Amino acid sequence: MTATLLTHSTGVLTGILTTSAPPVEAPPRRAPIGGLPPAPPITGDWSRGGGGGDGEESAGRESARDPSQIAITGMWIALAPILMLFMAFVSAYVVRQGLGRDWVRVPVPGLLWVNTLVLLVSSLALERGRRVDRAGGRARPWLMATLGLGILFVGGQLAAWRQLAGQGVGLSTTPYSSFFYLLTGAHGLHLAGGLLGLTAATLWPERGLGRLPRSVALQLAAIYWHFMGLLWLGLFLLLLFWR
Amino acid sequence: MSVAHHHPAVHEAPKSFITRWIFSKDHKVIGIQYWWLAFVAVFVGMALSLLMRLQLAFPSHQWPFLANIFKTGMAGGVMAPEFYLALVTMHGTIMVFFVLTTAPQGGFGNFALPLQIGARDMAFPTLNMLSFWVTLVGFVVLIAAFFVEGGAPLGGWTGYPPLSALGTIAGPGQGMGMNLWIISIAIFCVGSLLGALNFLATTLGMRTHGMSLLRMPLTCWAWFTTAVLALLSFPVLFGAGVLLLLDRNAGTSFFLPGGLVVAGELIDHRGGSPILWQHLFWFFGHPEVYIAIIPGMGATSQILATFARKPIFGYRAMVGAIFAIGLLGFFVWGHHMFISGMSPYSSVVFSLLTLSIGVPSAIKTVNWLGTIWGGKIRFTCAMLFALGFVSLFVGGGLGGIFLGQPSIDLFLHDTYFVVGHFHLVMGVAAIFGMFAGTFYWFPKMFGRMMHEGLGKVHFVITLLGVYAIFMPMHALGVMGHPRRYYTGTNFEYLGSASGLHTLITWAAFITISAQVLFVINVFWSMFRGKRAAENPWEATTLEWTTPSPPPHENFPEDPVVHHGPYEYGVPGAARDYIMQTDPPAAMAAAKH
Amino acid sequence: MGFWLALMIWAVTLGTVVLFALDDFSLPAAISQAAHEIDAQFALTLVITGVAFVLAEGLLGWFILKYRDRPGSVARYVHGNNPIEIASAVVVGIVFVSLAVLGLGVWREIHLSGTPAGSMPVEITGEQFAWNVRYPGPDGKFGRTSPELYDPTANPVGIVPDDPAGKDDVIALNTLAVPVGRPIELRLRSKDVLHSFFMPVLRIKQDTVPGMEIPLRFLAEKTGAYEVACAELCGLGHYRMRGMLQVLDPGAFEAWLGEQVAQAAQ
Repeated sequence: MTATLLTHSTGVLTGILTTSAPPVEAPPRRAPIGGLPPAPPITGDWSRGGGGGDGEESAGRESARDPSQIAITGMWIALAPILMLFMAFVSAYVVRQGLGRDWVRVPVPGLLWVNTLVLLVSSLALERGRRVDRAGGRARPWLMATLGLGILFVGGQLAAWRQLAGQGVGLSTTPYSSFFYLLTGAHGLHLAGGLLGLTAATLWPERGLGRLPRSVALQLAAIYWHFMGLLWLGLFLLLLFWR
Repeated sequence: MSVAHHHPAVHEAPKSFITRWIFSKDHKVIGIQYWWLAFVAVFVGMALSLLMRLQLAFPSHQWPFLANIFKTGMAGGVMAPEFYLALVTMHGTIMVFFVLTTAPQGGFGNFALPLQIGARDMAFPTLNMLSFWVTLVGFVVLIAAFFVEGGAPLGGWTGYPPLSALGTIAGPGQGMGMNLWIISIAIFCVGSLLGALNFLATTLGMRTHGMSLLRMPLTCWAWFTTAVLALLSFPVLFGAGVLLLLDRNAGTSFFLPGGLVVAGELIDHRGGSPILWQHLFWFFGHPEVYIAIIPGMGATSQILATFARKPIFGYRAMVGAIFAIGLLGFFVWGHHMFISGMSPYSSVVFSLLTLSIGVPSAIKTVNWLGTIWGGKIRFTCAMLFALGFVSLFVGGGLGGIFLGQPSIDLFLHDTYFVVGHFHLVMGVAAIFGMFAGTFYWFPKMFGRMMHEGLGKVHFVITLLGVYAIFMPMHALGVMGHPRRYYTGTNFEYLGSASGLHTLITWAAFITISAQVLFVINVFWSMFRGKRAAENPWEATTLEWTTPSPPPHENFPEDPVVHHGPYEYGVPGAARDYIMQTDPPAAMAAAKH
Repeated sequence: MGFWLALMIWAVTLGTVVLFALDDFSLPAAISQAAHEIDAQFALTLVITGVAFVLAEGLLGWFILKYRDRPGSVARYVHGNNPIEIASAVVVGIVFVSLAVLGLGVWREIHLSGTPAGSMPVEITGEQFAWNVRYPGPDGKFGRTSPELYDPTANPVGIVPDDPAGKDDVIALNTLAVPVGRPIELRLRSKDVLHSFFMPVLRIKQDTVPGMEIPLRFLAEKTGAYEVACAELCGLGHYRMRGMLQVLDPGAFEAWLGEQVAQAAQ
């Protein structure tokens, strides 16, 4: 399922990155009137104005203006700022940890291991649901399972917070704890957004909505959801081992 | 063939007043809304700077009528130092965010990008509408800082902790005002990110038939690069803001070291690093200044080609230069921090990278000169401001060669040399880019021509005025005059500064007054200007194939592009320009 | 319009060149070797950027004048010129990078070369809105400090009383006195927020960061009294954090130190 996701996404990426997709209806290449192409009045290829030149016509990239393609492109692009936000937090973490000065580690609540497992399983459930949906079957049970696991994850994170707070470790107790709450909180908030998206995709009408078929809605939710899972893995490893 | 169902982002033409003009999803309306926001913001920013200039030229002078308006800040008619600093902070924040990061990209970009690539709208029209309204909310929150207890913050637009993190104990305005400042910027970040997403998805996915990437006008490349910069830098600012907010209100110590004694009190914080803020802030801050100027570079290229009646000189080099500036811009943030206490070794690296940005900048300048060389120049107001952009970009940009060297920066850091430098590039060149864009696209936006005569008078006064304001600031810097000073009169070595301050203030007064001419031009032209034809400038790009203003769906049918964006003056062609949608035969016929 | 535009551009260019060349606005007198080197680098940069400025603005004005739209003029259909692109990039690259490398010499001297032999350490602690200056005294060592012990009049830098090294420390307010010709190593600290210790006649400044102690080295070669300014926004009194750098003959310096001790004893 992840393999399918990867192949498909790579295909999307390649689609995005190439500048001329094979045209759907290509008008015939016309030879300029008069035979040989005219010598361009400049001294070199790379400063020529406009890559298209004269007489060349790539027809429209019909497939690239397909709403589904655009939405998927948009979702991939949207992951970049989210990643940058967490990279800002992580670099602050690394710098602060490197300063020494009363870093004071706090044991990571064991609950987090459970939560991590829950999140990873939710990604599996989501992919299973998507595969079932593509095959025309009833995806809803799998999607509901994903939602349920996602809610369980958020609940579990909150429970871990309560546990820590109960031990007297709050946001400002030690620098490590500040980052703990910051990273888990920021991730949790973003994941909650993903829950909303997943809910929307689950309730998406079979016939599509706003020119987006259900499979695409699910794909969009899945890209985001799996990203959140991978992100959590990275943050969890940081909190566990970079101390 | 029916086009509607092939095209994403085609939405029904809105019917009610609200959906047409207020909560509109039409990129043209949204672009104009952003433009209006910048228009209002720039006058607020200029008013604040006038007050600052009054204080600098006439230190501690009594202004009775101002006492009535600013009851706390100018009690008794004399400006309080904290009010001066609040003005500095708000002026910078309003100008950088709500003028320079709205109109060039959100304003002109939103309006013109879909038109120039032959699309019906941006990729995500609803998100587009959201991005404007979020930005507007950010502006309102920022202005609110003036009206809360303690007033506006006084940490400068850069908000360095510990000063910005300590709260009211560090000074007036550092309470609620500072919180609102941070929140406003965070909101702005969100709006900007939504916009950047749209620009990227649109440019990548919505170009019409034949509009390959290398046939896009340079404006589109500029907006694309700016969007990439925004996408990757704004989240870091947002993150820094979150950390600062936590330090201020939740007792964390990301930026606050231990052992601080402020106003006699020992502050209970531990081991944070003020320099960490600077790294995060400038990692955003340096790309930000390129976000402010790159759209203006794109507009300048577009306008120079149009009115010199020649292709842009070195199109691909221009694209490469924009990319190089954007990319390098991510690796030079340390040049704001040579003096900060960061490792002097990293300063060496940052310095070399910084001066390397001179190379693509020089390429662009050479190419702008190459574009007008051998041209047949028409001096419309748009062209005047584009030429002014080139002049100011050179004049201001060269100041960076001084500041990018740490040995010279030892002296010039935090002096008026820096203020003169960044005002010339950001505060003037970028603004000239906006003036140029306004004169150029006004016919398309509002269906009427602006008044050229009035525009010329405005241009002359403004060009001379801005040189008179900001070049002398370099002299103040060379004298060693620090910035953000309420007054320099406490120091003997700054004795000769007062003459320059007075000169600058008079120049500022005159120049700002002249902007009224622009306001009059805009409003008069909007209602009484000559009705604009489809292509009043005889330009080649796609927006000039539509009516002025264009209908909701922009194009009745998808345009088909056969030519590059700047085919002016093709020898032997029927006219001195070949539009991008002209049939291929037009070019072939010319080549005989 | 083209004619007037060219004239305006040349006028502002001329005005700018005159501005920078006028003596009135020149740098404050330099009193150290490093300051002279910085000035030399500044002058070199000024010449190079000046040439670039005049060249670019000159060409801009010239092209505006020469290529304005006149009856019969024809625009040249040219898309670019690779040799010119490459040549400009190479020339600018070499010039700018060479400039940067040249300027690194004095940076290395000041920040990358460690403490010269015979340096006298002086500690500066900035606060809102004054400079506390501390000398180590005859034992050459600074006493430990603790923020809890700050007292604005009695103990402005919070010296720990039990530390023997601190007993002979000499404190001054807003005046940094140094013997002429002796290398000095400032150790910059801050009590509350960021400040920046700026000595225009030495051409150097350094931010003072709470939680850090940052060195700044210089060697003053001319006696006199010179102003010190704060160069990092630190609050509403930022503009009035005025200090004095007193460069004294060795004998006068010892006398001055003695005076500070005597005053403290009162």
